[in-house]
Amino acid sequence: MCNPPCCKIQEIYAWLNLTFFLSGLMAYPETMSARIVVEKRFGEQLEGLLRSPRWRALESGQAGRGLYLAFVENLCAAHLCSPQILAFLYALAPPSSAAKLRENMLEEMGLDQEGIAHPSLLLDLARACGLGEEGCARVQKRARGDLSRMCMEALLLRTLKELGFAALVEVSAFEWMLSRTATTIAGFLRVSLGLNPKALLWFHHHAEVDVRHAAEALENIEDYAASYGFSKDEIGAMLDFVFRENIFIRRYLDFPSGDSSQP
Amino acid sequence: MRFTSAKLFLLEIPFAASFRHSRAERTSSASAVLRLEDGHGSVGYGEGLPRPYVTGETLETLRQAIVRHFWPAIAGLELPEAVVEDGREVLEKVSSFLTDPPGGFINPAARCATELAVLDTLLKSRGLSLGSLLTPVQGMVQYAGAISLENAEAAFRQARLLRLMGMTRAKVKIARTGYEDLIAAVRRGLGPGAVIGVDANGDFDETTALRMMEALAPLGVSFVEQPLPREDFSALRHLHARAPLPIAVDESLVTITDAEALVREKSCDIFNLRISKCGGLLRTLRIAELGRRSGLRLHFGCQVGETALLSAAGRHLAAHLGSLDHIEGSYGELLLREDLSEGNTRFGYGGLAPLLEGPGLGVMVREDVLNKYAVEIIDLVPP
Ligand SMILES: [Fe+2]
Ligand SMILES: [Mg+2]
Repeated sequence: MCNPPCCKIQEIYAWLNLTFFLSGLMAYPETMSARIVVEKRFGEQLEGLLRSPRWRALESGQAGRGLYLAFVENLCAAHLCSPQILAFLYALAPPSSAAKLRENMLEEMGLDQEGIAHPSLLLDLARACGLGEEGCARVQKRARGDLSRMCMEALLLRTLKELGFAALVEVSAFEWMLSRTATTIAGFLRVSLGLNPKALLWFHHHAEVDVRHAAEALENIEDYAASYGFSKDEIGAMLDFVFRENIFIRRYLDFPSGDSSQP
Repeated sequence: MRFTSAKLFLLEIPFAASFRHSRAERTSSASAVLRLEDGHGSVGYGEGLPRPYVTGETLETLRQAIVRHFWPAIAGLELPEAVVEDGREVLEKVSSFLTDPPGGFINPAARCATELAVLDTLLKSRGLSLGSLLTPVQGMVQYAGAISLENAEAAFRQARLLRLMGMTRAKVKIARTGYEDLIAAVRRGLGPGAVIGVDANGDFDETTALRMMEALAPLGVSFVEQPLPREDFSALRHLHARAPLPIAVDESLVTITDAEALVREKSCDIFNLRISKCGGLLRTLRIAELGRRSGLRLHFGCQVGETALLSAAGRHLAAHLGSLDHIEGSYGELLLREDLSEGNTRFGYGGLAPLLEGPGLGVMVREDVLNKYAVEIIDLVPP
């Protein structure tokens, strides 16, 4: 008696359990590749998201309309400026992964053969949810505000090398997570907000395309770490830095507690 | 100038990561912000964090102290128009209105929130920075890291994270067991040359504290904070006479009377100052001055979970006092999920932070965030 999104979630859980079981067996040997360590952390973050009460409310269809709309706004704000972030990552990419990052960036901007700018898909989604032009403006303002805050904050890291690594890990974590949840999210938004497939195109891209991106992203991280000479300990510290809290929950599920999470 | 209205916000801001020591584990801050208006468009804010295990205060006692005592004490005041000839005089004047409530129970956090809010409003109404009252003697403030009470592996990772952020100085929370492994792990994480102190939060008795200090001295630990419970005054004196490491007092040092007794009894080497704990800027300053006159070293602590408001007040006072050995605070969104300030007050790489030059405390408060995390908002009107 469970609807498609819920089945999908069980699949993800089963997959996560397997990953943790395997990584547990390996118990951090010195030789463990950066890729495995990174993916383990991605998995922990995803598990945190899937276990959070708000996600469960959204995913089960139990949440109120207000929560779905707040979630859509957060998601749009989180990804609207990804072309800019990808451009930054492209600028710092070592030669070995620059081409992949460039392709990813152009695709995000709609400058590839497909010609669909992803930010415009996000704004289409916001409109289809009834957020209107006012809502779109609000989302754009938030996304730009986040960027400018990032530029004005005192840097906690020593050089651009570290900052670039942190950004690469965070962006990759989202691609990785979306490649496993985009279909689920599209499913619960379709049912709960009555959206049509066209409104949900952004999720289609991130479910299908990002399976490839997500795998590439892990290679990019490994490349970056090797090319800039990060030691195993430094990689560990960088991961602790990026994941000092659950970044998925922070970006997607943080809204004023007054928001109706009740049906 | 007089205050036309006030609001007390009782806040619960979730932490990005939890913080643990031997007396408490916190996953969110419990703090209070007092917002004052002067009727001519100036709005000022002050903050206090009641901590039952330090001063006996709770959010409830803080609320009562502000609603029944401190707000009535300042609501009717006519504050002088011409200020800031002499910064100290202004601080003394504002402080003189904030006498302790009758009954003997002190409310340092409530008093601190009120004092800071009065000063912030007063200074903003004149476009002046708190730095005009507390003249800085240095251009930057350098903060140290804090490592919460964890197992050795987690402590190593916290230390490694601090090192990534360029910090070479940290205070480690310890309890009665496992401290040697903890210090070794932190040393490994922070790297060679790092300065490491420990905070026992009163978890030891005289015998176990001495044993702990003898074990930690050869490991290059620089100081031990609050080895004994607050009330063990004579044990602290005995311990200090024999201790192989400098002793800092924290929970034992709340009032000027505490400070005088500690000096008289020769019970410590270091005063750990904290604005909220000590009841505001002026009282903290007086304790600092007494400490210096008595040849003690000064540390400057913070409240875990403080927002940009207390961090800003701390920045001003630390820059004013100058040459402090160990300064904590200004963790901002490293600790809080969201801070109250527009533009950040958090330190940057190396724990370094510039002076705040804006009017008042130098913090532009985001009212939306204040409202978002308020569990209760109490409107105060002039009595
Ligand atoms: Fe995209
Ligand atoms: Mg302490």
